[in-house]
Amino acid sequence: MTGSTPDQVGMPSSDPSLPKLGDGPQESFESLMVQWQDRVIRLCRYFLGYGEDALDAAQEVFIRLYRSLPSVDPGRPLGPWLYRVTVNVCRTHASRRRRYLRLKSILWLKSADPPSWNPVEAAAEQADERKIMKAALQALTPNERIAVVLRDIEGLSTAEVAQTMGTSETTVRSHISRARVKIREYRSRYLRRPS
Amino acid sequence: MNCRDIQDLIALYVEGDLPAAEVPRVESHLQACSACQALAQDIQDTVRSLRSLREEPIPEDWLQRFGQAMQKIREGEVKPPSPSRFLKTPAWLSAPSVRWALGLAALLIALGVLTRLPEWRSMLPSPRPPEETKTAPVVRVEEENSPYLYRHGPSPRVLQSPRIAGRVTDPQGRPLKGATITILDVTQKVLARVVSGKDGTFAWVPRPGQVASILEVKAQGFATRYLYLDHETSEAKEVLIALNIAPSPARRPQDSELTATAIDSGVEGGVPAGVPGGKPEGIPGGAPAAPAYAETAIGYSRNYGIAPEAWQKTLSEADEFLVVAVESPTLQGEPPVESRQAQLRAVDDRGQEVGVFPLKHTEVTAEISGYLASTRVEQVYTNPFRDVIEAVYVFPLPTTAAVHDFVMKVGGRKVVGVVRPREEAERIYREARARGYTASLLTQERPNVFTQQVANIEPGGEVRVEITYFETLRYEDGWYEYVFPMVVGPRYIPGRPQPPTDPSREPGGGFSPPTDRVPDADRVTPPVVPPGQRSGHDIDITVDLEAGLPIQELDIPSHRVDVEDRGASRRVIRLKPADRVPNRDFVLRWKVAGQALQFGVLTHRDREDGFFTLLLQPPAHPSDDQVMPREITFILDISGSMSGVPIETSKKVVQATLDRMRPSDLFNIVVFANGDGQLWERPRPATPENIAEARAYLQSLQGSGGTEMLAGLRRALRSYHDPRYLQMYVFLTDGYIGNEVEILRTIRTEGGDARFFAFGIGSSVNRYLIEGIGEFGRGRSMIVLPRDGRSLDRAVTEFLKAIDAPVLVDIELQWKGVTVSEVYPERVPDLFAGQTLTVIGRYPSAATGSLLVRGRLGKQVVEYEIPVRFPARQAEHRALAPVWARMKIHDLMKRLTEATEEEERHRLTTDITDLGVKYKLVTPFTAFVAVDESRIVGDGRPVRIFQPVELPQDVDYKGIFGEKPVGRPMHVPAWGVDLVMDSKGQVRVARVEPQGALARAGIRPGAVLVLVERTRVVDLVHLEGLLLQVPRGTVRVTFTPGGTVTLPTP
Repeated sequence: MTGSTPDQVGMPSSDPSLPKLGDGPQESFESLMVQWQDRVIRLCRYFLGYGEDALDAAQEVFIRLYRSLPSVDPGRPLGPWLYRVTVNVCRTHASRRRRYLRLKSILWLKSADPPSWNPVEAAAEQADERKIMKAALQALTPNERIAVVLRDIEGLSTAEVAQTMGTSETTVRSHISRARVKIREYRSRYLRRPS
Repeated sequence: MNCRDIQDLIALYVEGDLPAAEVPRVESHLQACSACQALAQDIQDTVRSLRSLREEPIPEDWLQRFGQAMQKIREGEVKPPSPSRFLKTPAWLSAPSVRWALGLAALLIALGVLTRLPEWRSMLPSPRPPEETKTAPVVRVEEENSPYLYRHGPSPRVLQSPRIAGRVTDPQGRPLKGATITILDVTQKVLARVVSGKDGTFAWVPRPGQVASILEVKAQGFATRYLYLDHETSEAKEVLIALNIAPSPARRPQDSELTATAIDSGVEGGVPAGVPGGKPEGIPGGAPAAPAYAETAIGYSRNYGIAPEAWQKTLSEADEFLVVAVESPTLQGEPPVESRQAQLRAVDDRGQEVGVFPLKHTEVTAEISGYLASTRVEQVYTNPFRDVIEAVYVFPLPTTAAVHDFVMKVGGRKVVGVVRPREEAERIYREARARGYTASLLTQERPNVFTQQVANIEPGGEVRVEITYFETLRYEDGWYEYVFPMVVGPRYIPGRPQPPTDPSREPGGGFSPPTDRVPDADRVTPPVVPPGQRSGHDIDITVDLEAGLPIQELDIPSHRVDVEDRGASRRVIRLKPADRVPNRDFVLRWKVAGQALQFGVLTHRDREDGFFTLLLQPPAHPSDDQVMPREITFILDISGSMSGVPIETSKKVVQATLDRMRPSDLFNIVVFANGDGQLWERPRPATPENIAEARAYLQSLQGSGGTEMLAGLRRALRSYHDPRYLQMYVFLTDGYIGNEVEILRTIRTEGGDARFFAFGIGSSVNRYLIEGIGEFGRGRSMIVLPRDGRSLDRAVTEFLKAIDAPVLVDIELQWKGVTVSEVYPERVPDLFAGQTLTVIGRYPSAATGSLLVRGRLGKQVVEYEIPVRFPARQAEHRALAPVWARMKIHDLMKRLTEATEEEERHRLTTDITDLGVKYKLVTPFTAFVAVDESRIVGDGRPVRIFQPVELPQDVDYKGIFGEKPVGRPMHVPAWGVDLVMDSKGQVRVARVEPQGALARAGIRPGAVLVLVERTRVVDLVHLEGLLLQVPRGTVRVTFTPGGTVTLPTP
């Protein structure tokens, strides 16, 4: 699947929160980058893990954006296009390096003990939960991960996820459902609450 | 439909993703099935938790990387994209993303991607040619490495700032003579004008109070050049641009009261760096300074060919403007400007930043004779401040060091310290301090952690403290070992914080407050130097080793040293100058020729008392395949302090051990950090498949979070064990916890017949805990230095040897022909293959006889005899008396650790106190105190400064103190303020709530929080700890500027 040519920019979307290219050509590359870099890097990381790969991929996404800028249709939202490019770029990177699915981090168990003091513990507690979630994501299949990240982290609708992934809504739903169940299992295994 | 089938549908249902047709089916099932209700709730929580991942920060070097990539793209492409308008963002102070944006702007400017600043688009014809077409001179600025000193207290004052020197050349490198360099401070006040000499050089020495911030360089025939001296980053900062520009929605400013706020790229809170103690009056929020800033901005804008009119126009409409200093590789085609700026702090001879703290140097001189060592530690405290100070330093010594002599040197005077019961010593010290005498106090917080306090060091003065201790050295597997620990690692403190109720209790000053489980936590957690910095404290070690027999091998795995050969059995070892950072144990090992223990028996006897010590080395244990099968539970510390190198080392140790286990043995892995977990529910045999599974599990482990070791230990003890196997527990940890006694007591009381081993993993582990685990758990301890591969192999071999060969048990000592008394250890521990035991005791009179050692080795009884001769007089080995007393105290302390009866505890405490006083030893209950009563130095209220300590080598700062200690604001509701730590550790006021306590006290943003109850704050982590160490009520806090204010305790 190759969906990254500029002529596919401007997929219709029902989501009004997705940013538009704005008033025309004066909307700059830099401002787009500022708006989107967090999301793009985040996506790349969930797909490719926390190594260099993710940042390389994010870089490639923005370079593609930079090159496509002249042909961008300013009247249509950029989001779907950018998500789609990101997903594609990540897939390419992933196939280049088979190992990207390696389960990286694990085992962050919550203590049954009362919270203890440490200047950084409070932050660490939350960080631990995030770590578990990140590790859980890495335990999914690539398609499950893409689907659940777009749906639950990035907040796209299942229809938009399907468009971004170039697949049917039914398939997306089954990815999402399986992903949620897996993550939930993972989470309850590693995040024990006080009994 | 059963639950299993519907699970997938529920996962969609909870977030409304289920097609409408399916919804009724799921809902009716959910009504009937409580298990699925719980599942639905759980999935909902999971999705919510997933959403929290949205807040992930982007990596710091992203923009830089991207910029590099873009540059490459640009090399092949001509067409620039349209200009940007992202500088519009108004909420720059609070939004990190905008700081990114600013960084991005700078970067893109540097790369030429962004050609102009969009807000001015309407004002600037495009493209605008540079205002001046002449090239600017090249200016190189360097600072002298003189420390930057300032005075604390209500009226802060700069005492000394670095000399500025530099050179002006044309772009071809030819010197420019006669260039005028105007030096301005941050308020644009002209401090000096200097002219470059024949070779283009110039120099300026600031007077007290002067801090250079901007250089204006004018050379005939060249454009004027403006340089901004950034004290924050010490990086080349040449470009200074500007701006924006956001009318405040809250109010329209009058032209006369413009708010000027300057930031540079590294500083948050709108405070120009370079002025310790905060900004000069009027900035920010101060009307008077705003025009001056505007003018400077105009000057800077010239560097960019931006018209001054644009500035003025913009400013008259603006509420805020930013001055952004950024790095720029090129500027209008000029060669890069090399500039090193004045720094706020000094650097050491290797270019590392050094803070200004009282402890300058530690000089260690050791003399080793056989297996007795005498070590003198001299600490040099100075006072570079204008106030009288009290220095407090928490430092380690070997666990069984007999700290015996204590001398304080002030000026030409020497004051010999005395040992008193701790409370009395503390009282003497406090009284002397209150009277303004120079005094020092040495207390013991743990067997291996001591506190040195030195009160009333006069400004510019120096106090030296000399401590001497004795110890017997370890001799194991043919090697002697001498260890000098240098740093107390950052310990995790379990329990709930307990602010002290006793107002007379002095804060211990650590980064942790006392808790219910570690009531003295504030005394064992010295503040840590922020990353990338140094405390300015260095160490030097000289060891004079007389081995007694020809030295066969000498090994110093921890440091680079010079070794001087002084005959077959003698070496003098000195640290190389490059290895003087006190951040890890110094380890010296040697092997002597011959099998026999020449120094087996040592004696000392003066008129009354005789002391002896001997090394007990059992005969070689035959390795035995018939030993009972073992079940080994590895207990892995995966807390934050272990993250990175240490945990990787732990994994290697476990793997190496697994590879060499017998398939008939069982094993399991338990891990602990904030929580705890285990590999398998039940231990499994060490088959290749199980080992492979364990290896995969190990690979997945990373270090983070707290160190709830007790929970890990309990999990290990309570998990399933096969009763047909010998139980063995193996810890892998750095031992950085404050509740050692809890662990050791639990091992003793709940450990049953199991044996406990410990691998101490790290460059400066808590040896008290590591050795204690072996001692209390009837096992052995091994130390693994991560940077010494041999130590790993050795430790694993030692461990396997210990568990593969039968253990010498039920050891009895029978003395023949000699009378002895008070022989320690009282209970002779079991001995593993290769292990030796030091026995120490007293003898009343001269005698000759022997010691019969009897024990059981498997089913065999082993017996051997050591001849002993106790002379009537033996002047040598004077150290034996204090060493004996120290070993007796060690034995009593062990009993105290286990004792639960109040009466017994009281008796043991009294015994230890008496021994300490009699033999002049520091113990938990006795302390050294020295007072110089010859002079009154201060008013009795010195500023307390806690010496921050280095982070141990290979320990990750982030693993302990979090990802971003710098720049993370801390909100203090009780004060109505946000505090932020800058990269120097200074705690600044970032935001003040209008009606808050701080606003009412007149403290404004930019002020630096310097003191809490006259105690200097090292950084934000330290501040949090300190505030929890003062009694509830009010606390006196000193800001500069602002002075001391009384605030409610948060």
